[in-house]
Amino acid sequence: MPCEHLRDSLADYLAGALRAGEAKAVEAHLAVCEDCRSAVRVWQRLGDLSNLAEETPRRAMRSRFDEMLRRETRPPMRWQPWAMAAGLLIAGFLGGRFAVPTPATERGGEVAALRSEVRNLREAVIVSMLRQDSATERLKGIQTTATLDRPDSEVVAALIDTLRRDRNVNVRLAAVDALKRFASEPAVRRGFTESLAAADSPLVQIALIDALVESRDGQAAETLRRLESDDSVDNLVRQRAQLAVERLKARHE
Amino acid sequence: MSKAAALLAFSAAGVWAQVTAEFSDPSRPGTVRIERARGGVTISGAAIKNVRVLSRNRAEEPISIRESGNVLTIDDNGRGNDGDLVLQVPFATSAVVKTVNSGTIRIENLEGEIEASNVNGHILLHGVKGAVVADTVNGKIVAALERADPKPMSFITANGELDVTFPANLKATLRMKADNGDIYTEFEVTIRNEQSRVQNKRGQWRSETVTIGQVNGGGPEIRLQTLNGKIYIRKGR
Repeated sequence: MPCEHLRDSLADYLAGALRAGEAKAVEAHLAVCEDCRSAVRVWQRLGDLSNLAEETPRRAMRSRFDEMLRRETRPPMRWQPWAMAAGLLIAGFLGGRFAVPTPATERGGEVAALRSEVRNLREAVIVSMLRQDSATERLKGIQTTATLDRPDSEVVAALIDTLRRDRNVNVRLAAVDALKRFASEPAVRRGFTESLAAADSPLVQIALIDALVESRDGQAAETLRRLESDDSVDNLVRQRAQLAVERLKARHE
Repeated sequence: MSKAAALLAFSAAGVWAQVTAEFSDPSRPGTVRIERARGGVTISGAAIKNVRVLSRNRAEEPISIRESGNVLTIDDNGRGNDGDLVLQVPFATSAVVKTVNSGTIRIENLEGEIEASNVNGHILLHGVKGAVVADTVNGKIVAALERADPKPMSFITANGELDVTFPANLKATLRMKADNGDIYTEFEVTIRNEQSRVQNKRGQWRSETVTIGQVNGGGPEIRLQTLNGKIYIRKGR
């Protein structure tokens, strides 16, 4: 457990946000205090946390967090749920983590547990961003999925839901691109096929056709043929569907 | 305007009628949300506190205006007419605008976020400062952004060109695709994905797949995509 008086400055120290004099004082203390050193090690190994947003931790992040706190205390402001989750996450680290003394031998396990906790929180943040009112926030949620190697099924399900239901065509198109990474999952390919049958934007239709060809989904042939023969559909889309049927057939022979 | 809903019925055809609508909390930036089946929409930011709605209604259809939680919703209830709906709003307002037929969406001098969807018509944005998410099917998108809001943005059309001007200090990752057209840019773009077939001839690209490139070190992703049309990415001040 780090010493009480360093609790706040350690966070700034790790973020590189301290003035030279303050940083020196922290380093001098770290040289003589094993507890604080071990806290710093845990924090550094949890560096993943900083990938939550696209920026690296800077002084600006600290001031943004302070700003978020200030806003929360002003009741009329509308609170962004994902920002709150992120805020709670940071607050949790600043406060709770170091309140309970932990024997050194358990720290390895604790780091692993924290890692998975951070991961789950990040996924919860993404799912929450996908439900925001602002289209640019929803796009941000989709872009954040690119930072996850293997998102859990909840994130993939939320992306499929976005592809099917989002009211903005830009967001649906971004969802197709993000879901291509997970096309090995049958649920994702099913999402592609079903959305293709319902889609009305030529750009989304073509993105879905390309995604189905890339994922070599033989089940899509029926939907593609129907699209190809539907004369209310954009000509380019029909041509692309025809090409896709041929390419899928060639692959399956 | 918590007084429930205001219903406007413009009686005289071809005559411009004006009404004022209020946000419930004018001290906070509000949002205007406009849904039309037909007709254009023009929104300009101004140094005012309330929203002025100007409508020329040729077909004498009613337009409903309601306000809730600082969101002002204007709806033609799917009936619509070819007349333009013109709004003056406070600078900080965000706009969500949707129309389908026979109209252009024009937005100028706005600091809030913009979400603009058209189907058969253009989208023209000028002097805007917030993040933009815009789409149309048959029409072009011409946008001049005065500020590079570091947020994801997206500009897409199926049949038409994209002509977007960003400030010179833009930091973004561009995701560009012009299936049957060329991409031109005044920015220095560092191409990230090798598999895209890119021909670099004096600052001009042709891509058969998506081309991803960074401007000034990269940043939030900005999608620029058209099926049939060219893409111009210009450098403003």
